[in-house]
Amino acid sequence: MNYAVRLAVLLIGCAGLAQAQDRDLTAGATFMFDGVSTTITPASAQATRHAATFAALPSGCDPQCIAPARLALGVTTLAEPGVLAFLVNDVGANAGFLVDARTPQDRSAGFIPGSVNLPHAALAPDNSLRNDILRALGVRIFEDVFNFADAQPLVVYDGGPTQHDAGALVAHLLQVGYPPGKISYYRGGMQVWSVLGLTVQELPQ
Amino acid sequence: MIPSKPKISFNTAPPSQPDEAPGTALRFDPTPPQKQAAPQAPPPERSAEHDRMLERARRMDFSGGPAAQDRDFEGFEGHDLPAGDAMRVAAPRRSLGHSLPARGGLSEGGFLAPPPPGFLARNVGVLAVGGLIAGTFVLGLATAYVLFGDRRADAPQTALADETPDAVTRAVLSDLTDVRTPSSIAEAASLSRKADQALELLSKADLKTLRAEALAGTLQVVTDAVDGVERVRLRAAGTDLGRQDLVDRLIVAVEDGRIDMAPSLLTPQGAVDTDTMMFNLVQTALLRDETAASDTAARNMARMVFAASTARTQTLDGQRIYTVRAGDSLAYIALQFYGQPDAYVRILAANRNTLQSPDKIQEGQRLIIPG
Repeated sequence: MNYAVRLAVLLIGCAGLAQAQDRDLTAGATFMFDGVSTTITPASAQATRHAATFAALPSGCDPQCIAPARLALGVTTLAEPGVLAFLVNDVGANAGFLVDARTPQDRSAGFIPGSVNLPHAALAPDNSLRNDILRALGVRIFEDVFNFADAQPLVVYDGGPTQHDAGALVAHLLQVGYPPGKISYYRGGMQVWSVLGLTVQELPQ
Repeated sequence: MIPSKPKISFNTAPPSQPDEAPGTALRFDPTPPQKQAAPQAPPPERSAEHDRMLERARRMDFSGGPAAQDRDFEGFEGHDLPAGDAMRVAAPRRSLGHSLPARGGLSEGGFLAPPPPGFLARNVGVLAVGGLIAGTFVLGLATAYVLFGDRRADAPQTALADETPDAVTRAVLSDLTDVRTPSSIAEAASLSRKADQALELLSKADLKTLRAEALAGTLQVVTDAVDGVERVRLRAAGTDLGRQDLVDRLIVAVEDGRIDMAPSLLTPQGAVDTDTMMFNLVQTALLRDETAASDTAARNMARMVFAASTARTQTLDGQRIYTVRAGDSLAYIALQFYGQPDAYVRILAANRNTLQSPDKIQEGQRLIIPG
């Protein structure tokens, strides 16, 4: 009886701790990226301006369409808490990349802190630098054979649900054999990110 | 807000790869091997040996019909000097030994019964026995000549004839220890020249099966756990490349000192990495054929293992770090990361401070795997 009570108290304590962590993550995140402590907070000062910018993005296709809820079998779709957890647990430990699939020009409007730019065109089959990029992602290459044992987990995003850069990049990744289990898709992209008031980073002019 | 530009960016220049700088001594060349990728200036004594190897390889034609097999057999008789000589001498002696008691017994019963009248008559038994012995000896020699003589005469005078038996039996896999730049699979084959000798220990039937499977593309790659450690190996339909009876024969040869084992094929436990050893032997056999089909088959073997490898590294200070597991050999690690067992020299060179020789790897040891 006594033990049961203690166990129950312990379990409740653990559950409370886990909940607290969830709350911390949704409230923001701090992690090391490229040797610099990076912080993401909600309610950033420029939130309204960024939200307006990304809301005005022209649709990625004609006639207008929206991104699917799931890009491919085995590719997980993430929401903001998942992205923040990935930044803290994986990117912060040098064990994963948050990948911005837009062109450098589109990215210059603002991006998620801790992300790297990998325009989907760079992984097109006809790009001569494709193998170099894959190596940077941890892929081992021998002749025309790829090995993905060391391939980094990726979270791919773009401008948002009206855009299709992330879809194109994921298609290229799957085409070379990148394991779908190592790819996640942040569908909200910059549109949802900015509406939520989460920190958007801009390059200095 | 202090905006800082992320330093990892894919859209500007290709990522700098300091390890891949041209001119680096141990640069890994991922391009498919070409014939012209062969070593440019082989040392003279090596080319002589290489010629002899080719000559042997040509005679070991595994693909022919019954006629070709006959020719093969003669070839083997011809250059199998130590064992062959012993056999040729031993055969007549054996037949003499067997026939002597039987004929002697017969002669005693037949010729010693009547009393001898004169010297000739008195010694006729002894003479008869002596004559019989001499006759049997001559008969044995004649038999031996009929059996072996003409074959010996027909056998090609091989270049190996001038080699001491020691040189033949000592030519070994340990050649893999040489530190040089592996630039292609074709060169990898020449690096494992000493696999020749191990190849000769395998019966032609064994090799024929494995080689045919590789050529037919029916080799399969399997990943199984040995003592909790995942291993990738090639499997022929019903035949394991590391088939136990083949491997046992090689291991016995190693233990008898008939062949030296390449240090790069030793595991942290001091055992022989038989999977990689057999991989190397079959690939070497294929590459010696020097046909397009066998070349492709040899490359496919490497590609299959490379693609299926589950070996993982950690990145520390920008370097890939691999932790040695039970059952690993340095050649096996190289096969998984570079597609070539002999590319272990790159790993050895990058870890000179912590790894003096390939057979000194320890379970749990952290090795830098150069990019």
